Amino acid sequence: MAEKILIVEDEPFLRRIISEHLRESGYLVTEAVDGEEGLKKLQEEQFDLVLLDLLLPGMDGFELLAQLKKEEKLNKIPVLILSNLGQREEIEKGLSLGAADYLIKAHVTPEEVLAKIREILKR
Amino acid sequence: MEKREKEIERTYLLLENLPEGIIILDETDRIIFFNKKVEELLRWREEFLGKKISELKEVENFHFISELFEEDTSQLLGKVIKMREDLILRFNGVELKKGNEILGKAIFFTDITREFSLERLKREFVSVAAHQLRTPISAMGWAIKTLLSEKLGPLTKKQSEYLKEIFQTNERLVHLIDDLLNTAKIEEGKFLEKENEFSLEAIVEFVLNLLKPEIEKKKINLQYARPFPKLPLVKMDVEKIKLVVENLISNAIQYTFPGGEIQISLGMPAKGTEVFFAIKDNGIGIPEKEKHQVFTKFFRASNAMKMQPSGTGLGLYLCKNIIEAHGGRIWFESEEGKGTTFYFTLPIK
Repeated sequence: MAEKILIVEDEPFLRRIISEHLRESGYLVTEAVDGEEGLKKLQEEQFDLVLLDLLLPGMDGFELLAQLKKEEKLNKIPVLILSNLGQREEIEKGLSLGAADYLIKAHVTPEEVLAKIREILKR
Repeated sequence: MEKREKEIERTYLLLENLPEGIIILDETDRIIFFNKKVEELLRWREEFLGKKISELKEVENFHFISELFEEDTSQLLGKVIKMREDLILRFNGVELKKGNEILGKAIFFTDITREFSLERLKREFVSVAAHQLRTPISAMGWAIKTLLSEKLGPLTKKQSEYLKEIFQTNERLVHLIDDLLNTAKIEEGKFLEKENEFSLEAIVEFVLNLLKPEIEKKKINLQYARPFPKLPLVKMDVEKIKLVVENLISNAIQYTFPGGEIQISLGMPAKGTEVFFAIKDNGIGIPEKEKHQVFTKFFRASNAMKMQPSGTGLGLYLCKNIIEAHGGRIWFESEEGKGTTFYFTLPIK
């Protein structure tokens, strides 16, 4: 069965590129433009992985991650942080909040993102 | 006025008007002098004279001050305290001794509010700049990669070549931004912030875990034995020391050939005032003629550049700043073609 991915990313072009790559690789993709919408979708559907940007309008990625980890039904879903913030403190904050991994958008290609997703889903 | 009286008067005026705050206690720990800066910044009043610090209960941030003064003054070295949002002070203390007789104590402080907020502004700038600059560049990079994959239609040879060039140019921008951000952080090493007692072993193990994928990818034989007995906790700016350890281990990995060997050791020499860290590799080593430049800003050894063309040359400069700001030492031994060993020490207190 096709795996379902939620992408929370406010930049439309970036969101589009990744979503298209994911769909072509056979994943079902739901898109959210900010933290609130992301949480809403998480309540409505079942996901196998969340792709999470950090700098979002309103609730930021860290808050969403913290909320997700608090809920029994959601805290087992692996979260891959995909952000352009890359400072040590930010990466560690993400990982210590429970993210499965952290990629810096400017340093990776879409294929590398996909490879990481495949790797996480296998874990 | 008598000559001696004039001298005393001058000294008094000097202390009164120094841009640093000075508080003098006598041998019974009573306040016998404090200057204008103390009145201005700590809002002390004349009636405090003759009192012991413990009697000044209504003074603002009393608990900071009383803790400060209860400590052994010789331990009061460069202690940074946030008195209020808009006031950050660095304290130093000294005993006033004549021979073996202790005549009192003096506490000094400097206003470092501006430097502190500049550091914070810089860090915020660095975060925001990273994000703002990287977002459009990521979008371009990803779009170009998508086009090159021909998922959106076949490309002619020339179209493909042009797109590859655009992608490379974009990659250069990514690296330029990384360098810019690192440069903005350079001075950071000289200015330590939160200091905690922490375990150096824990840091080494954390970094080794972080770098595990690279170590395995290069099939490097890495030996690290946890020191026994455990090292004492060391007072340090944890984030910065993590940076140093990561830098040194990462360098060893980068400049050692696949299948090479790296040995990491931690210890505490007999006299027990400092801990040391050593990392030895059998990699490319550092050319004799370039050794004196290793810790300078932007320097990259010629053989290092050949092996790894991208690199800012800021890593070791930052490491040196950080270790020396802690009162430690950092040095290396190396032979080109045979390998390098880097060492650093950190004082325990």
